[in-house]
Amino acid sequence: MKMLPKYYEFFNSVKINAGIEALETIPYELNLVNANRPLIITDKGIVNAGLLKIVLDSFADSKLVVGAVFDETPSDSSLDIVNKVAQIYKETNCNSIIAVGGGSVIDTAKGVNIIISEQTDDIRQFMGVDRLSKPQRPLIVVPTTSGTGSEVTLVAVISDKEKNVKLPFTSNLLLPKVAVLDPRMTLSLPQKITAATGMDALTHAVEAFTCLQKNPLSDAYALSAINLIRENLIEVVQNGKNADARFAMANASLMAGIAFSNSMVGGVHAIGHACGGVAHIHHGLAMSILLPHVMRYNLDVVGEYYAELLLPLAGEDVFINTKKEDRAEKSIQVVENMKNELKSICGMAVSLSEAGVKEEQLEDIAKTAMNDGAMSPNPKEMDFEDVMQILKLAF
Amino acid sequence: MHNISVIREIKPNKSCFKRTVVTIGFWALGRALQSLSHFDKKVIEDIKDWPENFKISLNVLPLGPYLSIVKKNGKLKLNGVSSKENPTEKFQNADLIVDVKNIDTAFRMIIAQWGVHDVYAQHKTSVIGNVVDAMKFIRIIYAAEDFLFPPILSKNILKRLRKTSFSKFSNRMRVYFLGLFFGI
Repeated sequence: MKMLPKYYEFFNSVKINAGIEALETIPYELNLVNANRPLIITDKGIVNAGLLKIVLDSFADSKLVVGAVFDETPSDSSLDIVNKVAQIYKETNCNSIIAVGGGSVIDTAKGVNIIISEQTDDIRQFMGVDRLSKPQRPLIVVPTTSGTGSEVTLVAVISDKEKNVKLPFTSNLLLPKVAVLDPRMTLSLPQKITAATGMDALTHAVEAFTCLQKNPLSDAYALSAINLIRENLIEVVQNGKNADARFAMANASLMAGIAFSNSMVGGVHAIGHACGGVAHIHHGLAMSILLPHVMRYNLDVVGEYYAELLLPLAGEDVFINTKKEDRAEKSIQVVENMKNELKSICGMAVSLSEAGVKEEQLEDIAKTAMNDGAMSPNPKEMDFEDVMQILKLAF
Repeated sequence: MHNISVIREIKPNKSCFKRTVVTIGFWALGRALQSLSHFDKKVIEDIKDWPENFKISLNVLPLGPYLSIVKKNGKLKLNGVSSKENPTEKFQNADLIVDVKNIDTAFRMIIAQWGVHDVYAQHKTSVIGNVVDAMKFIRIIYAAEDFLFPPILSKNILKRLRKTSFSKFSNRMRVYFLGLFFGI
């Protein structure tokens, strides 16, 4: 009999507008909350890919007046940028925010929202869990990658470049008002980024299904996300113009985001964040490389959960034809095969050395990983030596 | 005609027993941490980067008890334990604040029914401060629990126990007899 947790919490208030011409619903949503003058936060890549134009064109014949567009968001959101954008918001009398982009853009938008809504000039005092007290300004998120799930998470991470630390903000109030999934927004995503962000979404779902705060609701989202990833990731990497597969991956990413926002992520993310911080490798790529290794490390503690994951990971036939006691190991093999297939299609690295990590960086990565917040929810204790062992295997 | 209920204010009960147990438990935890910071290599490693006077508060919401620990002369020091509803200044403005959301949760932790990771899994704590410091604090709490509780209890609340050895036994005795009574 499946055991439920002794106690769990689950919350997600984000309205999801998903599908054909989803962007065109934004003016209606903002009008509902009397916020017809949004600030758009995005980055140069989005502008150059023509995605901002698609968003602006979708507002035709509405009452929406865009107060300003900030398109200089860097790949790593920082305090300076958040303060700068908040100033623009005030000067241009905006009353809502639209974030168009990936994780950094969305985190920047959440950070700006904290400054504006809490009427502060020092966001650092709101760092931590449940520190926000005031309702936030309407935030609409239009994700342009299918991986981070930030459009439905209650977390924002902003870098303090001066002190070289990442500041986490966690509050239900940080959840966006609406997440808009429009197939047009991910069609131009490059092949390797598509593969890496897809593996990021898979990692969110697998860790959400196995980490300490897992619960029946987050499980449901995680399993559905993995199903969609199995059916669509390889196709979308091979054929990026397949709008249906793109849309399915956007949904998978969103569902995995809802799952991990309520059950947290674990060792893969802790080590992956450290790989990003020390060796500057792409987050999704780090997830893809590390996922099977951390799964194997956790196997003796959560093997039962990995066995369950075989059904969404490999499909009915493989699940039925694999002995019960072999299913957990088979799940890990399926993830490894997926990784190798992506390498053969688009050349995505399968080891840390291929991704550009130097052997002498492994110790720094392990030390940094030990102090990452994602280490806590991992189902099995990990100390420095354990992380070093995982890193050596992944190298 | 309906009968009209008597409308009166109902104030919450006080769980004096649980508050007393948690207060004593906090005192023992503070003394154990103070003691471990003198000799346990892993604890010494974890606290070494904290600046002098780095202050940590462990609070039970909303009315206490409260535990305050401070780093002095490179070691941890039990700065105080309070069961008063309104804590004095030394229990406020800490560099790292860990709040336990209610007295029942704190009670279950102190009697080794729930470990730190169980409480985390159930969303029953919140942290104010730097994540790196919080992770270090969790590790030193694990170390203190490993020494304070006998293995029959600590195996339920720790993800992994330190290996049994003579030195672990002697250090446990040190925590019991020197740590709890003299803080060394």
